[in-house]
Parts: sequence; structure tokens; C-alpha cells
Amino acid sequence: MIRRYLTFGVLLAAIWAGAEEDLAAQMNVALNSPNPLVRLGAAESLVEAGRASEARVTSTLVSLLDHDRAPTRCDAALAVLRCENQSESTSVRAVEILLRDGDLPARTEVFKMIEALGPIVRAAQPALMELLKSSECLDRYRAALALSSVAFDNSDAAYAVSSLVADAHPAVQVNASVALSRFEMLDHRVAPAVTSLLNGTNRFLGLNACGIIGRLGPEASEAVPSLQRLLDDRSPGPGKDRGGGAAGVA
Amino acid sequence: MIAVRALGKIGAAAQPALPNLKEFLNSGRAETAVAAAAAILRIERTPDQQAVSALEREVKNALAPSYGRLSAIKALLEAGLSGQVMKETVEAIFRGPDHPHVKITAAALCLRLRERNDEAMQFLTNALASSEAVAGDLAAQALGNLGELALPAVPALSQALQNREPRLRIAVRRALWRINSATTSQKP
Repeated sequence: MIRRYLTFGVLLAAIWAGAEEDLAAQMNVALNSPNPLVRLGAAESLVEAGRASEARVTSTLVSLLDHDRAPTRCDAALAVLRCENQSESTSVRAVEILLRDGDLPARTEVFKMIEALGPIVRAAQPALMELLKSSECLDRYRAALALSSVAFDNSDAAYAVSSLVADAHPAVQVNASVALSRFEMLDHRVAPAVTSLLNGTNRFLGLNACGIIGRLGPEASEAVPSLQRLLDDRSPGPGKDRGGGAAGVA
Repeated sequence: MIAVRALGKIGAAAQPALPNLKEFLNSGRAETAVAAAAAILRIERTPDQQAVSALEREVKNALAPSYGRLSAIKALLEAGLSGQVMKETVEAIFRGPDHPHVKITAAALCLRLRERNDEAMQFLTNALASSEAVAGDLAAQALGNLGELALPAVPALSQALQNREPRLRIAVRRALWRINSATTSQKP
């Protein structure tokens, strides 16, 4: 570990000093080191210094994605995702590694990147679906939203997310309901879970469920009695609120 | 009111709710009446005269909020009804002093009514590049909802995929997906 940070320091000092020749020499030594942590440290420093496009940097990071220690794989994967010029397959592999092997902070980092990465992480859908069943509520919370961003046209993903509207954690319920409203492809399988929200006491979930039922259309016919009950309810809520406005018209 | 909209979108299977919805036509609140009328027209196969009258009344009411009048026009259009008053109202709102978010809706309706096509399309594509994220988001949604009519906006949408704002990029990807789905579903 100490050698890794020393590498960081020496390389950054050379970069800041503008000592190109020193830097090239240091880089060759560090990137060819037999110690994977030194190689990783060198590659990370060069990514930080905006030199991610250099072939040696990317090839070093990619080779470290296969390292047998999970923390090294994850650090390499995070550095890979910070390189804008990575190939799609490498980025997907990096996301998969982080979701599968990363600790909570590493997974948090990758969740933050998912929206920015967009469709290229579609191949990570299985890993995201697996996280919907995680024992860590933060994973379930984030995986639901991430799926609605990268797999909005996948009705299986929507169905998997719908199971979380009855999650033990209220924040996960809310996020799952918000995520469901963001899916473009919804089918009758989500109707029972969404209809159950109309009968609950949480007004936000009820309002959101109405929006999702509207998107389901005829496939949500089982929700009609619950919706009628809401119309009969004279208190403010999904039946009588002023939701919608201009955004609803568009 | 969102429950009223949901019933409308369920369509024919929501017929048991028609008596409740018809009650709302005379609720005294224009917004509720418009939502109920729109839902009734979606549920009933033949246009209900009472619902159509409620919507037409709202369209002609110059004192009503613009988005309420636009909602009424949208509902009439979905029921296959169109008229000169609707076209004039949409155009007046599009050209008037309303908030840009309302004008995005008006622009989308102009395109549906085949009115001011070039200007409306230009307005929507400009909104995509707006520095205000919500406007870009709404424009992308409106274009996505237009389906095949939004085909001329595909280059601008593709360009917007490079926007720095992740939320807008997601809205744009959805819009492109909708336009693509609408186009492919219409092919034999």
C-alpha cells in the first residue's frame, strides 16, 4: 500500500512540475512494476492527471480487472469508469465488478455514475436485478432507480422492481414506486403491487400509483374498485388533488 | 384528480366508475370537470355530449388557466374531435405570454393540429437545449408523446444525448425510444 501511494506522489509531482521526461521514465517503471498495487497506483495517478487516453494506462487498468483480490479489481474498475475513452465492453465489465465485488462505498460510487453512463450499462442489468434482493436496504433503494434509468424498456426489470413496493423499509417502498413510474414498458404483472398502494395510508404512494395505473391503461383494470373508492373519499389525496398541471398535459 | 385520469386511461373496463365521473362534470371546479370529461370520453366508445360540452366550454373560456384549456383541447383531440376554435386557442397560447412550460405543451398541440408546424418544432427543439433542465425534460417528453410526428426532431434529440445533464439525457433516450416504437409499430 505504501509503495502504491509513493508511486502516486512521485508521478503527481513529476506531472505538476511539468517534467515530461521524468514523468515518462517514472511511468515506464511504475506501469511495468511486478507489484500490481504499484501498477494500479501509477495508472490511477495518470487518470487523475488527465492522461487516461494513453494506451499504457488503459491496458494496465484493464489487466487489473482480472486481479484475484476484490479490492484491487474494484479500484481498477473505478479508475476505468473515470476514463472517458473506454470501450463499452470494458465499462460494462467494470460496472459488473463494482456491483458484484464492491463494498458499499464502491457500489455507491458506481450507482452515482450509472445515470451518466446511460445505455452502456444495460449489460449490467442482471447484477442490478440481483441487488434488488440485497440485504442492504441502500442497495435495494438505489438498484430500483438505476434499473429504471438503464432498463426503462424492460418489463421484466419493472416487474422485479414492483416487488419492492412492499419492502420492509419505507424509503425503499417510495423509491421503488418512483422507479416504477419511470419505466416505459410495464405490463399486467405489476398491477397487483401497484393497486395495493391505492389501499394504503401513504398519500404519496397512492398518488404515484395512480400515475402508474394510468400508464398501464387497460392492463390495470383490477384497480377500478380501488380508484372508485378514492373518488368517493372527500379528503385531499389522489382522488381530489390538483396534481398534474402543464406537465401532465404534455 | 389523478385517480380520475387513471380511470380514463384504463378505458372500457372503468365503466362502473362512469356515474362518479359524471358527477364531477358539475363539481364547479373547472380542472376537475375537464379531467372527468376527458376520462369519460376515453371510457365511452361514443362521445358523451355532456363531456364534450364541458371540454368545449373550457376551451372557449378565455379567463381559464392556459394549461386547463390545453388539457381540454388534448382530450377533444384524443376523442377524434377538432375545430377552428381549438386551433385558434392553441395558437394564441403558443404565441402569448404564458410560461415556457405551458408553451411547450401548446407547441406539441400545434403539431398535433398541424398548425405552425415549423415554428412549433423549432420551439420544442430549442427547449431541448435550454439551460433550464425542466424545460428540456418537458420538451423531450412532449416530443416522445408525439411519436411519428416528432421524426423531424430526431437529429436535435440525438444531439441532446450529448448534454451534460444526465436527467435530460435519460428523458431524451426515452423520447427517442417512444418515437422509434411508434414508427416501427405503424409499419406493416
